[in-house]
Amino acid sequence: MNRQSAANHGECLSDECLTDYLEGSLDLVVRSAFESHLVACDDCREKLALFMRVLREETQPHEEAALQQLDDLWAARKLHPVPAPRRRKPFPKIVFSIAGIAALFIIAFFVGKSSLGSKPSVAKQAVDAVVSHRRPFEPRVVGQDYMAVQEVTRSAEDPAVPDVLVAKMTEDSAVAYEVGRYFLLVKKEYAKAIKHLKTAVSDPKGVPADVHNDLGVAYLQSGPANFADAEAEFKNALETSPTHEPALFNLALLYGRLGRTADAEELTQQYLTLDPNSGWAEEIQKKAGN
Amino acid sequence: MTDAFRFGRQAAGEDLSSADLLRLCGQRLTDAALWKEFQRRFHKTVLTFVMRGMCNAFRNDCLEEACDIAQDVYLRMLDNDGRMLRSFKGDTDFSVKAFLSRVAVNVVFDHYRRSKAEKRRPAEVISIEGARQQGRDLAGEAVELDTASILSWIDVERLMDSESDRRNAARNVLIFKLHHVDGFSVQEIAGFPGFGLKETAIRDALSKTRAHLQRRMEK
Repeated sequence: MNRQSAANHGECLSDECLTDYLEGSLDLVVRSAFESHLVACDDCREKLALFMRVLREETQPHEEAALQQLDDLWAARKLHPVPAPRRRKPFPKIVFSIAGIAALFIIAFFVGKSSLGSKPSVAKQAVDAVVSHRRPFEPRVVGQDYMAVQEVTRSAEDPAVPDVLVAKMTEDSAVAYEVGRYFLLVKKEYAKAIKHLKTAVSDPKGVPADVHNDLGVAYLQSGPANFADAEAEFKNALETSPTHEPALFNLALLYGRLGRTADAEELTQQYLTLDPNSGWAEEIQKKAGN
Repeated sequence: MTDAFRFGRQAAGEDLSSADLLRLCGQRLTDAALWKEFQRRFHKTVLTFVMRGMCNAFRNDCLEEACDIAQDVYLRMLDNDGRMLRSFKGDTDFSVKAFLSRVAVNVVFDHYRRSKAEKRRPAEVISIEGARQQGRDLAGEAVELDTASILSWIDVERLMDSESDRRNAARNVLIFKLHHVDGFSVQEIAGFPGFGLKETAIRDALSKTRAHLQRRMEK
C-alpha cells in the first residue's frame, strides 16, 4: 500500500514514539492510534520492524561471531569510550616567551646569588687560612678559632691577603662586607674597620651581637682613647645576647687593661660558666690570676 | 529515580540503575569511573545495535566501518555537552536500550546518507536504446508495486472490517503484517512488551486473522 494513503492516517511516528510503543509505556488510546497508523503506513511499520530487529533479545549465531570480531577490532584500535577532560585552549606563543624570559631571570638570580654567596665563603676561608698561622691580637672576634696570642706590630710578614680580595669582599654584598670587616680587623686596619662597622651598627633593622662585639674589638685595639666606646659596644653585645662568649671575654680583657680587677674577675667567672674548658677559658683565667 | 542517584552514592556507578547511570554520565562527561561502568554495561549493546542497524550492509569486510559508526554513536551522545544523555527521561532498562537503539540507528542512517551523497555523481550519458530499456523495466516495476499496494490496501481494509475483536483489530493486523511481511517470529513479537501478548495469544491472533482473511477471499 499505502505510502500514498499514509497521509490519511495522520503524522508519521517519531523514533521515540515507535520505541515507546514497543516498550508499552503508552496509554490505551494513544497506543490504538499508533496501531492504526502503523497498519496503514508502511514506512512507519518498516521502521518499527527495524527497531524490533535492533532491539531483539536473542542474538543469532552469525551475529555472535561478527560481534566478537567487531569487539576485537575495537580493542585493537584502542578506542576507549571515556571522554577525556576538555583540553584547554593552548596558550599563545607570547605567554611561552614571557615565561621563558621569566625563567631565565629566575635562573640568573639564583646563579648570581649563589656565586655572590660563594665569594665571601672563599674569602673567609682565605682569611681563616691567614689567621690560622698567627693570632693578630688579644681580643676575640666572632668566629675566630682559639690560638695562643702572638701579638706583633704590623710588618711585611703580617697577613698577606691580597688587597684585591679585600676590595672585592667589601664591595660585593652585605655578607662580603661582614667578611671584609673581619678581614680589616685581622689586617689591623682599625680605622677602616671602625668606619665599616659603625655603618653596620646603624642598621635600623637591628644589629646582631657579633657586630657590636667586633666593633668593640676595633675600638679596643685602636688605643686607650677608644676604650669607653669599646666598653659600650661590648655591653651592647651582651644586652643583645647576655651569653655572648666573645663579648664577655673581651669586656673582661678590657676591664683587665683598665685595672678594674673585680669587674674583670666577675666577668671571667661568668665566661667560665659558659666555656670552662677551651683555650680561651684558660687564657682568660690566667689574665684574671695576674 | 533510585535512591543511589538521589543521595549521590555514585562512586563507581555500580549501584545505579541503567537509566540513572545514563543521566549521570551526561552530567559528568569526564568521570572515568562512571564511563567505565557505562562501557561495562552498554558497550556490547552499542556494537550490537550498530551491527543490526547496518542490516544487510553489514558484512565482515565492513568491520572498520562499523567501528567508526560505533565511535560516532558515542560522539553523538556527547554532543552539546551530553544533552541527549542528560535529558533522558526513561526509567526502565528497556527504555535505556531503546534510547541507545535510536541513537545507533540514526547514526547509521546519517552515515549511509553521507556516503551516498559523497558517491553521487553527475548524470551518466546513456544510449537511446538503453534509456528505452530502462523505461520498460521501470514501468514493469511500477505496475508490480501498484498492484502490491492495492492488494495490501484491500487486505488491510478487509481484515480490519472482518475482525470480530474490533478493539484490537489494528493491533492484530499489525502483528499479522509483522509476522508475514516483515518475517518476525511469534517468539520475537511476544518479546516486546508493547504488544502486551504472550506467544499463545499471538498465535491465536494470527490464526484468527488468517481465518478471517480466508473467509473474505472465499466470498
